[in-house]
Amino acid sequence: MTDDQPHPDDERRLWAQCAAAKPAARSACPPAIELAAWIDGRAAGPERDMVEAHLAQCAECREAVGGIRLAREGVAGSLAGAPERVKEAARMLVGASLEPRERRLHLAGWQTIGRWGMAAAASVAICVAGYRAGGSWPAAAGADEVVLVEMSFGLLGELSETGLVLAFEGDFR
Amino acid sequence: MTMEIDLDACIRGDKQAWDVFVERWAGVIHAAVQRTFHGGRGAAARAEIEDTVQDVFLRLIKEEYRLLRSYDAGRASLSTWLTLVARSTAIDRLRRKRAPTIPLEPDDAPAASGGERAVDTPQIPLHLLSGRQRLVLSLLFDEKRSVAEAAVFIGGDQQTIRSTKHKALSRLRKHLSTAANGGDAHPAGPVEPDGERQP
Repeated sequence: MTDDQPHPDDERRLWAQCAAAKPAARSACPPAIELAAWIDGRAAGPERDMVEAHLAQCAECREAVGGIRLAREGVAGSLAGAPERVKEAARMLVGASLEPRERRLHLAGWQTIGRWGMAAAASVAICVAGYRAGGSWPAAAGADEVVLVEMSFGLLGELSETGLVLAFEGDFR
Repeated sequence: MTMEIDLDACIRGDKQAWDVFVERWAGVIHAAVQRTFHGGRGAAARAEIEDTVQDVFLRLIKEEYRLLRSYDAGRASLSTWLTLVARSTAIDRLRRKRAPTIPLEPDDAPAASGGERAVDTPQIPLHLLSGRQRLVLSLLFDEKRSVAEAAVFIGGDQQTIRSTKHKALSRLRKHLSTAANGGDAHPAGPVEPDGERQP
């Protein structure tokens, strides 16, 4: 080092002054595709500058970049490959189990509707049976004037493959 | 072995294309997760790594393959992108595990900015330097990397690092000198990506 060269400590101090002006909150990490483009040397212009400005302040992203560079140099060890059970589990995520699962969900939905329909039909049937047995609607109980309602009711139910089909036939007088 | 990966077919839900994708990239994802976990020798660590690899694949396909759709082959290689996705997934998992010990305050402290602080000295606005200049100074001074190491990080040569450092420090000195003489310490005009200021 010659005398006219600046001392490294001076340079470090100068940078420290700049670092002291760093914003309190660092910028958000760029999306993976932007960082990947920078690592691959495909980022240019403002995009490159934006990524580099972020890297200057984000130790985590610097570590990610450093890790990839090391891996490419073979320093971090070669790829041993993933265990077969890991690949098998990943393969199972798509396709094979999807269609049956969708079908199960579809049928489960109809079964739920069917169950609620049956419960509603049973409630109506109980009310009608009670009324016909000589009772009255709760709202009319004890009233001076009772409005008689004659009602015939038919309930048709059919449990098909697509679910429960309910039909009501009513005749109110 | 060369395997043609048809990402469009994967995104359409083609089982065969997905199987080829898994066969081709599971090793890259597994290696990236393993590196993030710093190895993983024991059975528990291996299980953790394998679960994280599954998380990565799940992340790629969930919400109608939203993440996989975001990949743009024109911008970056699939290998680099998947490595970053795998690493990010692994870090998220590690964070979730460590969550109870993380303080509530946001992590604002610049982790790698070094201990040196010049509180009473005039601060230099960061926009004075380009992103690359800031990155090079940060690598050299905050992380104390050598010029050669910084060059590997940037993906350039050592001469580029020296030149960028020289230009950046010259700019900082000039700014301080102008400010000390009562001049305009904040000259207008954005810094170009290569560090040159527009007129």
